[in-house]
Parts: sequence; C-alpha cells; structure tokens
Amino acid sequence: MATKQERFHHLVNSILKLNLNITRRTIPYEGGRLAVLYIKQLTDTKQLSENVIRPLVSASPKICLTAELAMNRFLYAADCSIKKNTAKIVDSILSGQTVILFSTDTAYLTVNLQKIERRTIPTPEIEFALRAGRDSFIENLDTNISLIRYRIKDKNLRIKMLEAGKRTKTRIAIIYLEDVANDTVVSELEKRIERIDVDGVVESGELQSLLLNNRNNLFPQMGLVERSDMACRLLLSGRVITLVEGSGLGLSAPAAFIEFFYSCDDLYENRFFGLFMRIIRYISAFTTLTASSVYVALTSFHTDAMPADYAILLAEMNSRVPFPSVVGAFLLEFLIEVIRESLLRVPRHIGSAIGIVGAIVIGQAAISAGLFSPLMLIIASVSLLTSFVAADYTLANSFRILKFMLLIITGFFGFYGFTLFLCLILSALVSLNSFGVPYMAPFAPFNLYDFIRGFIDNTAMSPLRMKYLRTKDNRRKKRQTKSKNAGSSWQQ
Amino acid sequence: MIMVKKAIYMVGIFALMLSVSGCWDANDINEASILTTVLLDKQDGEYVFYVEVANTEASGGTEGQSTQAEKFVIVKASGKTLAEAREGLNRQMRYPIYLSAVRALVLTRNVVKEDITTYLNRLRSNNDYRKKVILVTTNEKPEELFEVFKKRESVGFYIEQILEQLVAANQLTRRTTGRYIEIMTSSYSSFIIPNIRINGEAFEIDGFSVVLRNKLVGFVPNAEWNGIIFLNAKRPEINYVIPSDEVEYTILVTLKKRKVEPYYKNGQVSIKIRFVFDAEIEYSNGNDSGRLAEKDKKPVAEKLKKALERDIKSALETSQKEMKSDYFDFNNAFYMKYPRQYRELSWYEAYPKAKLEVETKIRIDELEIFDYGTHEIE
Amino acid sequence: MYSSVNNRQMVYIILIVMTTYDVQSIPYILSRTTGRGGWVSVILTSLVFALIAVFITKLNNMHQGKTLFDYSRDIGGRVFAWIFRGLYLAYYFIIFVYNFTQTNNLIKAEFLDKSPIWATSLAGMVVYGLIAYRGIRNIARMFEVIVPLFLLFFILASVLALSQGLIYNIFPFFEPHRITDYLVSTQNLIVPFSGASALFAIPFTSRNKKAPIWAFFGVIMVGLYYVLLFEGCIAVAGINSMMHYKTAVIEAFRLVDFPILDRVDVFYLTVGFSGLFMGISLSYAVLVDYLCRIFSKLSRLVITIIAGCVLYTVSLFLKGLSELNDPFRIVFSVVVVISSIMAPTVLFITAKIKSAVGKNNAG
Repeated sequence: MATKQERFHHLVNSILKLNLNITRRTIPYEGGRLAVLYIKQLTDTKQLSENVIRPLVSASPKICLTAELAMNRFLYAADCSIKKNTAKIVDSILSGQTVILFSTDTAYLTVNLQKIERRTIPTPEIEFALRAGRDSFIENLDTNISLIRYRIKDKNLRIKMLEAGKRTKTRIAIIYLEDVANDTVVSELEKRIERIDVDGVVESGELQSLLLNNRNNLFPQMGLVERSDMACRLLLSGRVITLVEGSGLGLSAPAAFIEFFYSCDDLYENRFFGLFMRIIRYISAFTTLTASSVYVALTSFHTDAMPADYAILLAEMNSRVPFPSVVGAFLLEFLIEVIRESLLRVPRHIGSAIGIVGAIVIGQAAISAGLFSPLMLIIASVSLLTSFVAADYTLANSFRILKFMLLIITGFFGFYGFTLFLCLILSALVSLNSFGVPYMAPFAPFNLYDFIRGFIDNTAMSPLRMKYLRTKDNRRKKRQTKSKNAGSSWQQ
Repeated sequence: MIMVKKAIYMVGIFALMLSVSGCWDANDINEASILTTVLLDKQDGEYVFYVEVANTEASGGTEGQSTQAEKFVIVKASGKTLAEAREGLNRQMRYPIYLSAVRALVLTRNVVKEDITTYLNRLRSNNDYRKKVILVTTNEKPEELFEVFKKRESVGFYIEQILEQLVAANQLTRRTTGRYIEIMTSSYSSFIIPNIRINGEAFEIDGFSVVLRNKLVGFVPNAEWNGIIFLNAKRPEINYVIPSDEVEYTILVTLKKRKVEPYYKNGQVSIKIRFVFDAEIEYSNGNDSGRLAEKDKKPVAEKLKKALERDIKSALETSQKEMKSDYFDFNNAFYMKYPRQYRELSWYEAYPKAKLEVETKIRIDELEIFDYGTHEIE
Repeated sequence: MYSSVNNRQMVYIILIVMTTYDVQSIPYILSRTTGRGGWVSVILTSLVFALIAVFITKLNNMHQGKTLFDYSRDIGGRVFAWIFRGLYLAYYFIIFVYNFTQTNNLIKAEFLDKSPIWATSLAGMVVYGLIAYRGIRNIARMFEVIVPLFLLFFILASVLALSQGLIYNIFPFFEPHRITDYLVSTQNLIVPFSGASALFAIPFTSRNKKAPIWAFFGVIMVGLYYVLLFEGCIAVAGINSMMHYKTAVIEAFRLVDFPILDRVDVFYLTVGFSGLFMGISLSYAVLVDYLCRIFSKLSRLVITIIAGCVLYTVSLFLKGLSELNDPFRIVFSVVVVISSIMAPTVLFITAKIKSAVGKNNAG
C-alpha cells in the first residue's frame, strides 16, 4: 500500500507531466509538505504571495498542516474551499483556481485567486441610446453579474450557473426573478443548455444557435442585450437573461417580434416620442424589406401606377442603363452589402477612405457610366439607412436576406409575386414561437392590452406586465386609490 | 424520410425555377413608347392617328435635360379601320406602345360627326388606357395643333392642366372619358365635350361640342359658358359686371345651391331648377371703389338676377330647342324621382317638349374684409 | 393539426372566406339583375346566411372539440356521417378549384397578361401549400394581421369612391315595384356569402360560447361591407359600366382619385390579394385537414403535396377545356347551395331533434 507521501508525489508528478504550464511551489511543514499548483497567467500572483504563500510559510515549520487547518487558521484568501475529488484537480487549475495539495491529507484546497485580463466597462456599441446608462456588458461573467446586481437588489433575483462545452466548460448564468418569470421558460432554457453537446461555446451567438427550436429559422428568437440597464428592464418585465462567459452580449428570452423594435430611449423618454420612434422603426423595417422590390414592380410591371410625368422622367433616367431594373437593383443591393461588410472588416484608419471610395464609386461614377439609375441609387441608400434603424440588428439581418429573395420573386411576377412572398413571410412569422410565446404577439394572437402597452404606450409605465409573457406576477404597480384630497397639500 | 424530403425540395425548387424562368410581363419603363396625347382624325374616309410620344432619349438620361432637343415626337398612321391605323402606329414604334400616360384624347369634329362610340369602346376594352383620361374635341388641323409648342412641351399635359385648372376654379365640371363611356352606354346618351382651339402659342377652350346619340350635333360657343357652368358645375364662381347709376360693379357670383325638381303629370315633363346665389361686390369703377348704398342694393340685385336668368335660360334654350339634347343630366334627376315612368317614355322625345322653369334667389353683399368708402376728414 | 380559434379570429375567417368567393363580380351581378337597389338583395341574403352561420356555430358549440368530420357521426350515424363528409370534401375541393381558377384568371386579365397561367398558378400553389401545411391556427393568426389592413383599404377605397362618385348613379335607392327582382337576385349572391361553411372544419372550445352572436353579426357586417362596396363602385363608375365588367371592383377602383398614385388598383393587388390568398389557403388547409383524418397513416406533408398536385392539375385542366366549364359551373352551383344552406340547416335540425329526444329519454 502506497503511503500518503508516495501518493502525494505521484499525484503532483502526474499533474505536472501533463505539460499544462502549471507552476508548483512546494512548502515543507511539520511531517510533510504541501504543493501549491497554479497557472501563472490565470492567477493573481501578488494575492497568492500575500494571502496564501506567506501565511503558509510562516505556519509550516511548527504545525502539521491539513486542508481544514490551513483554510480555517492560516489562509487570508476570501474564496476557499476544501475538496476531496482528485479527478477535479486539473479542471480547477485550468479554470484559474489555485490548488493546494497536502502530503498528509487526502483533502485539498482550492483558492480563487483568478486574475483574468479584462477591459474596463465600455460604452455600448450596438444598443446606443441618447438618454440611458453608458455601462454595458464585458466578457467577464462576474463583472456582468455585478452590473445587474447593483441595479436589482431583490432577494428573488436568481442566478443559476451552468456549464456548456466539453473543452471550454464555459460558464453560463441564467438570471431571472423567481416570483415573476415564467417557470416553463426557465426550465426549458435550463434543459436546452444541459442538452448541449459540443466541444466549446465561446460566444453568446453560438449559444443562441444551439438553443433554437429550429436552426433553419431566419428570424431571431432570443433578444440581444448589451446594456445592463436594458437587461434589468427585461428582468423586471418577466424575461430571463442568459449571460455567457467570454461574451459581451447577453441573451433574453422569450423574445417576441415586437420587442426587436424597442429601444431604451422609448422607455426613458416621453411616451409620445417613444411611439413616434417605434412607428419610424416599423416603417423603416418595412422599407428595408420592400423598397427595392416596390421600385422594380413599379418600373417593370405596374408603371401605370406612377404619375405620368414621373414615368417619363424615370424613362429618361433609365434610358442609358443597359440592364433591366431587377438586375440593376440586385447588383446595387449586392454592392451595398459588399461595402457594408468591408466596412466591418477594414482597419479603422482606412475605414473612412473606403467609405468615401464606396460613395464615389457607387454614387457619381456608376450613374455617370450609366450603370444605375439615380432613383435606384436613392432607393438602395434609403434601404441601407433604414436597416440601421432597428433597435436589434439581428432582425435587420433577417430582412437583409429576405430583401433579396423578395426582389427576385418581384422581378418575375411583379406585385403578385411581392404579395405572395410577403404572405409567406407572415406565415413564417406567425408560426414561430419563442420559448412558448407566440412570436407575433400581441398582433397575432391579438391582445388589446398588450397592443396598447407594447406598441402604443410605454411598457415601463404600465401597471401590468405583458400578458403574452404569462408571468407569475402580472402586476408591476399597486392599484392607486384616488383620494379626494390628493394634491391639496401641494396647493396650500 | 430524409430522402423523400430531399426529393420534395428538389422537385419544388425545379418547379419554381421552371415557373420563374420567364419574367414574361417585365417591361421596363424606358423600353416603352410613352404616349402623352392621342388625336384621332378622319381624313378622306380614313382614320388617322396622331400620337405624341415622349422622347426619352433626348436628355441623355443623366446630365439633366437638354432645353434644345425636342422632348416629344409626333407619329402619324392611318388606315381604313381603327385597327388598321393602330397597326400602322405599331409598325413605326421602337418600343411597345404604353398608353397609361396618355393625358388627353383629342377627337376632331370629323370623327365625332360620324361616330364617337367605336374608339371609346376600344378604349374601354383596353386596360392600359386610363379611364380618367381627358376627352376634348377640336376643329384645328392636327399638324398645327402639335406645332404650337414645337414639340418641347406636351400638348396632352397642357390640355389636361387647362381643364384641371378650370375645374379647380369651379369654372368647369370634370368629365373623364370613363364618364362619357358610361353616358354613352346608358339609355339616353347626350353630353358636351370641351372644344379646344389654338390661340397664339397656347390653347383655349372656345366652346363645347354637343354629342347626341353618340354623334356630333352642334357646337355651343363660349357665349353660353356662364349658363352651362351654372347648370353643370358644382359650385361655380363667375364675375358679373352690373352697371348702376354710372358706376359699374364687378360682382363675384357663387352658386350656393342648385336643386333640380322634375315633375310628371299627364305625360308632360316639367323641370324646375332652383338656384341660390351668393353675390359679393368686389370692386367698382367709382370713387368709393365698391361701396353699395342700401338704396342701390335692390336694383343692382334685380339687374344681377335678370342677367343670371338670362344666361341660364339662354343655355337651356340652346340645349332644348336648338340641340334637342339634354346635356345637363336632367334625365338622371327625372329618373331618380320617376324611375318607372322614365323607362316607359323616350327622353329623346320628351326632353325637347319639356317645360323648363328657372327660379333664382340672390343674396348680395359687400366683401366682408373690405371697408368701403372712407374719406380723409377735411 | 387541428386548432381552435377565438371568436375574433372566427369572424375574420368568415369575412375573408366570404370575400374571397366572387366579391369582384358583385357589382356586375347586381347591376344586371337589380339595378341601383341591389343593396336590398345583399341585406336579405346576409340575413339568411347570418342565420346559417348561427346554425353552424351552434352545431360546433354542441360538440366542442370536434369538427363536422367527428360529430356528423354522433348526429346521424355512420352513413349519415360519410354523406356529409363526402359532401364537404367535394365542397372544399370545388371551392378551392373555383377560387384558384378565378384568381389566376383575374391576375392574367388585369395585371399579368403575358405570364402563362401555369406559371402564376404554380407560384401561387407553392405558397398556398406552405401556408396550408402549417395549419388553420396559423392562418387564423395571419388573418389578425391582414384583415385590418384589408378592411381599411376596401372601406377607404369605397368611401373615396362614394365621395368622388355621382349621386345620380346611386339613386333611386329603392324601387318598390322591383321588389321581385330584389328577391330573385338573392340567388346570385349565394356564392359570395357561402364562406361560413369553413367553420365546420374548426373545432370550438369553451372560449367560443358566444360564437353564434359573433357569427351572426359578422355575416351582417360582411353584408354591410358588400353594400358599401357596391354603392361605391356604382357611384364612381356608373351602373352601365358595372354591367359590362366582370371584374367590376377593380374597374371601379381604377377610377378613384388617390394622392400620389395614379391608380389605386396596385393596392388591390397587394392588400386585396393578400386577403384573397388567405381565403384560398384556408380552403386548402381545411381540405388537407379533412384528408389527414381520412388518410391518417400518411403524413401531413405528403397529403399537402398530393392534394396540391391534384388541385393544380384539375384547375389547369378546367381552364384548358372550356367545354367542361359549363358543367363545372352547374355542379359548383349545386354543391354550393347544398353545402352552404341546405346541409347546415339539415344538420342543425337533426342535432336539435336528437338532443331533444335525448333529453326526453333522460327525463
């Protein structure tokens, strides 16, 4: 039978032989020795020296240390735990923990002294708003959770930690208000995360794809959350937020179609301004999808719908264009997508140059060369601009793809094909659901209250939560009883 | 199951590709011969089409419009029948004819004298032709008509704008070709069509061609304009100049109400037309610039009333006695009240014998915002 | 894939399905048979069909969770059930073919005259099939989005037409001596009002308790909508024009002045046609539901595809052989009259008698 010492040496050597860049610090103590194992890149070595090594060194000559004794009497580190399962030692070290093995004890200690390079909390880049907090999520999960915790101090706030990815063991936090959120959504989310069987999940986008009902769907079924205030707003309305370690974007579920048009500004500004902006967004989304197709339908099929003097002007403008309007529209839209994509990839310093080149190339030169009609260029530009108006860009991405398909079918059948395809899109939208919530709620199935609160009014001010979310607690505000003397004190 | 699904998808895609390989109806606007005016004439027993086609190549398309180039091209074709003449047009066009931009359909009096129905029926059956297109007649030579603007401006657009402007000014009733077709196909067919003529470097409406039973029966000159407008238009406003005591007052007369009351007794059709006018004195050629003393109001009103009744009665007489043609839609008013009797009698015979009575009421006043006749205190 | 609908969705179904059937030719039919007093025929017919809709909804309420396919057996036994199942299968089949053919002819005649019918039909068929495959509940949800737009467009266009039209074209509003014509003309309106039979394919639940009232007023509302449409069309176009155009509604809308656009019929092609497509998809979905019940071993996808191929072929065949069209029309009229009026009445009376007998026996 191997002695404890032999087992200890064997264990340490077997860990070091794995060539995982693990650093070992051995400290002898009375009757044995201990090994402090850690990865330098993941550990705060200063804290390690101050709170772990120094007290152990000072304690070691006189006492026979055990894991429990060391933890309770000597270590200054805040986050310590005693473990016995030696199979988990390597995992702990790889996740940034410092492991202390004792030759005279089968138990070992894990100390959390993680030092992960993280950036400071940045301003949001996707969910920019004029009047809202400027803090947004970063890649560090703990920081993100702290951003939520400091806004919601309710004891019902639950944070369930899960893991996904065999190799990455990415931490995932499911955050919700227990007395508000729909249990079915929470349990469904948990189930789907636990069912994930891949080698790694590094970003929330990957997680989103893995959580979908049907991966062939074009429309996003979970919302993106970048700002912590927006995340808290969603939690209060009864949704569940999912944060992923290593991703600066959280996910919210369930997400109905109407929610992709909400922005923080709508909630913090005057309700009429919010309504105005939402109408602009809806019109913009529709314009993104249909502008080029309507142009093709009107110029190639149903020209009699246009005023006659404009038809003549349009004919003059198009007289030099060598190809049919559907081909021109397709090419121009394609070119604009190329420019959009290139602007994302290009280094910042030459980005503006690309923008100028793009504008000049497509704008003036293409028209002068007779490649495109000026009206087509305006329409394509408007379509591009309106695609940026949507509060959540993932929905706009769907419309960008559908735009091309709609253009093709309109190019063949005019408004007949246009209407057919729009009906098909509508059919696809109404058949979707996001974790049990109909995607087109509150339009279909129609609910007057939700429609007024969600579309017309400001959801932040409404006394009830949206009914289609089927939350446990529907009420956000207490019923106010009107008093006869209300306000009289102000008048005095 | 997967193989079945794959097969279904492939068949579906193939079917779709087959079905969409055509773009049969796609025809870009720049690949169409855009007609803005259609003139139909009859010369030596042959139908002659003169069409004004927009010259979309003129400007070059991108650098702005050239002011020197001709913007319109006139194409002429003739044939023994309308179909033949149309074929002749097709043979001269670079692109398929596009009719939806036609603003005015001009029929010469030669055509209207014979039969207006053939071409209007043709128009009715063609979906491309807008039923809202304006219809006018003319006695001018087609070549001269199209030379007025030297092909730099559209004749059709101009004519349409004249008519739209008059309608907006309550000087004319808007009648589209669709409306004429509707009347033409009803049991009683009679209407007036504005007639245009060249006036210098522009056009003007010089009267109305009267059509009865789909043939031209006469011409009503502008002298009858006031009466026709009061009997046809919605809320016409016309200026009258009424002299009184060496002062001539210019009065704006607005028709407030027109009520047509038909009666039918013992086989005799009577129609009573009641008018209520509002008259505002705009200005005069006197020192007080328009002020009307109380004692003068009544005589001026009487004179105005007589002038109005004279104009209306003259228009009615022309319509009833001269043209024997009810182009004031009295038949519709009669039908509304006596539908069964209307079906039993023939309005072609009844109208010329009908008793027409006119009753007018006028309210005369000064312009509200104007303070007349102030003098500096001497 | 049976799905229930709520009362509002049910009224939308009634509205769209009815307006899919032949609404284009209402001004044409009425101006020929009744003249300006056609609204009387419309109101009379809507009252009759409102009653029929009440019968159908009451039948569905008496057998909650079931469709005609199921409860016809409860009412009259096996043979009785198969007669009615066969009748309604034939009805939905014929209605689909009729609407499908009419729509394609309309598109060819008015909008896409060079595109061959087989191509436009095929494109349409694929889309209807995809929508029908997803089930009636989906279609009912689509109605909730489309119907408000549909109604808005048609009511706006009709009101514009009325305001821009001539009063002479509408009056006389009622001629007492033509009352016989008004009554006789109601038979021409059977097809435009026959859509309530689609409710036989939708199971009702406890939330549809007030469905008979909703259905009654829904059909009356459809009648009023037809009246507005008819009056608007004849006001702007004139009764003599309406007599000559089978696609009277489109022709009338072409005369309506609208800001910016020269012709309003493009709105008809988008908004109006979306309603039309939904109505056709619903009859397809109902047919597929029925066939799924009969051929329960086959998957819904296979049934949808096979039914689609058959419907497509039959429609093209009918279009191609014009000599078959007249017999088809006769069969169609007979089936529609039986399915829309006689069958619901017979079913309702039989069910009521059976229920009364059952209560007596229990008492």
